[in-house]
Amino acid sequence: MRRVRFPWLPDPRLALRVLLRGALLWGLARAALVAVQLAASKGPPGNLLPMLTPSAALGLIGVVVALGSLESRRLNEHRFLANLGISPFVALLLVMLPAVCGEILVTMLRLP
Amino acid sequence: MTALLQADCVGKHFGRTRVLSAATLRAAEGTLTYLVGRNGCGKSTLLRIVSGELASDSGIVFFRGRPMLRPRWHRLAREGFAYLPDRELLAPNRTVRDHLDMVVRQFGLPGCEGTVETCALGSLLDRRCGSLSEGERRRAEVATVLARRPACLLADEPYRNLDPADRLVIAGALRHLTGEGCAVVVTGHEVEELLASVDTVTWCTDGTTYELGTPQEALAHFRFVSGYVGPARADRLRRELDQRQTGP
Repeated sequence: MRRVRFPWLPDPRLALRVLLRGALLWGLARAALVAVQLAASKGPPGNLLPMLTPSAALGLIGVVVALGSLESRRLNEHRFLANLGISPFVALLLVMLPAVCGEILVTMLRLP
Repeated sequence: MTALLQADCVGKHFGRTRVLSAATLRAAEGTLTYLVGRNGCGKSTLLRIVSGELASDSGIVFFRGRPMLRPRWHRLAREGFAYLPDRELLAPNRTVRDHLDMVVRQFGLPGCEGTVETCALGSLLDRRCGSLSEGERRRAEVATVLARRPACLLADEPYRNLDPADRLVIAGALRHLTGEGCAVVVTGHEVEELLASVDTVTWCTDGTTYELGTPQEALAHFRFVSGYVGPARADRLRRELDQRQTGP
């Protein structure tokens, strides 16, 4: 058996899947946010990529993590990953990473 | 015999129901242990606590001699531990091949063709786990834990939903794993098949466990026979085990 260098990390293909899921969930959360704003304003669509306050951004990331955790349980992934030696905390970090990067990117784009 | 995994004085209650009061479990290298007991006696709870899936109220777990008050499944897994829960283990939207590939890549294995053959999964590799029958899915679950060649395996009801032919296949795979030095603990109510293939029996009852010794010794234990197996069935099993030992 080959010695794996970072046994606490999932292999790149599995990590990529979890990252993509995180990115998708972040995109959905953002789309839902814009939809709520549009419904509330009842006007024409304005800014489709609004910059959030730090607390709202943290809340959005929290929603992404919660949805990622639910999805992981729906797929029985937490048990399978545990047998691979991967902590549920690492899996949630991977789900969270795209959302954090996305919020930072949006902030950088929106800053004057 | 060295106990690779040992749990001592494990206690657990759910609400007002005390499931375990002082249970002990030992998994020794190269030994297949049968954890037996009636429904609801706490076998699965004990395995879940030892694997770290569930927190205990009291007790301690030793793995490779290292004490742990709160074992963590993923940390144990990195040291050669594998746990086959009695619940779903595989993602319904992924194929059997996807799961086996993940195991192979994660542990840097050369491949898992042997396990695929042992568990008769050749024709199921490209099927999604959600489309498999319960028996086929169980075989695939067993294969994912066998593929990595663990040093210690806790298998909670590995024969669940399997037909007699598949049970023999899985029993052979578990025996082969034990022969390679793995410490294996299995549970289940398939008393005939399990007593014929295991080395030692541990009886879980009244919140505690009793190490009864070999299957023959277990079948000579009055309380075990009267409380679980039943006298007539025990006589028949004893005769079968004796015949097996003396040959045809």
